[in-house]
Amino acid sequence: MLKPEPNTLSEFVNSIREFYTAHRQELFTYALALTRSHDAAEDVIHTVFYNLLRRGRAPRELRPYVFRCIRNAALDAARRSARDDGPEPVFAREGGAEDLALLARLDESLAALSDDERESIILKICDGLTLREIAAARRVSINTAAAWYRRGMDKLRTMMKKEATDERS
Amino acid sequence: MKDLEKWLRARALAKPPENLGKRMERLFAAPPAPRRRLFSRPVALWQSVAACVLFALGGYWLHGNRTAPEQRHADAPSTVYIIQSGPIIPSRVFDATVRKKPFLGDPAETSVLVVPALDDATEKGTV
Repeated sequence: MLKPEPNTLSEFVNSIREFYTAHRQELFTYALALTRSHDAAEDVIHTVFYNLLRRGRAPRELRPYVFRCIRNAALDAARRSARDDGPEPVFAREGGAEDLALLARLDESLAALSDDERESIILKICDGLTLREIAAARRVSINTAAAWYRRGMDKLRTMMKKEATDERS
Repeated sequence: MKDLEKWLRARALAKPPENLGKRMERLFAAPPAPRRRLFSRPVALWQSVAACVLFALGGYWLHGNRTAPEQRHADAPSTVYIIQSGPIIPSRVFDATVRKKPFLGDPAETSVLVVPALDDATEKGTV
């Protein structure tokens, strides 16, 4: 009675596997943005899914729940490793020299944002979460999540424009 | 802002390493056993209410069985004083004005029996 029926358990594992397959890119991007390291991000995702399988049942809202778990695990990992060498780029280094310079500027600008602003931008733009899902993942109100995102985007646009102007001059 | 959003969305993201895929496949192929959830499993509301009612009835029944029948009716006088007869005692005990004072406790709950003679001066018993 305490353990799920084998049929239910295998269905649960399959549903979690499907969820991982569908969202692995988003999950990795978020974990990478938080841990600043490929290895740490990999460990965080593995730990989160291990714990989810140990839980034995899916939460009501799986996507915000998994993102919240990734954040908690990533913050734990970051505290343990205490790295301070800047964020690992979440955007792939692709394209010509101009694109690479632009991406470098983008990474610098993202690094200059507050953690909340950077996270909300990555969750919304890179991971495709809605503001409601971001609010659920971060356990804040939708207004707070929206304010983080809006403020972050304003700052990012200003910094990108300023750097472009500086380069031209 | 829309342009920046569009531009950011068009950027390719850093790909998850192959090793992660292999680790996750191993994890899903041999998933860990779910934790035992003896105290944290969800309980239906009706089950909680039924358990409360059951324990309340059980407690009431147990209390009734453990209480002696004579203790259940405490409205009758519960203390009896047996006092050795003497010249002063009858007036002290039976005089209405004196009995208003709590000489031997609350008169409503006290019975006084005066006997001609006893070995002990005063004997007190609870019924």
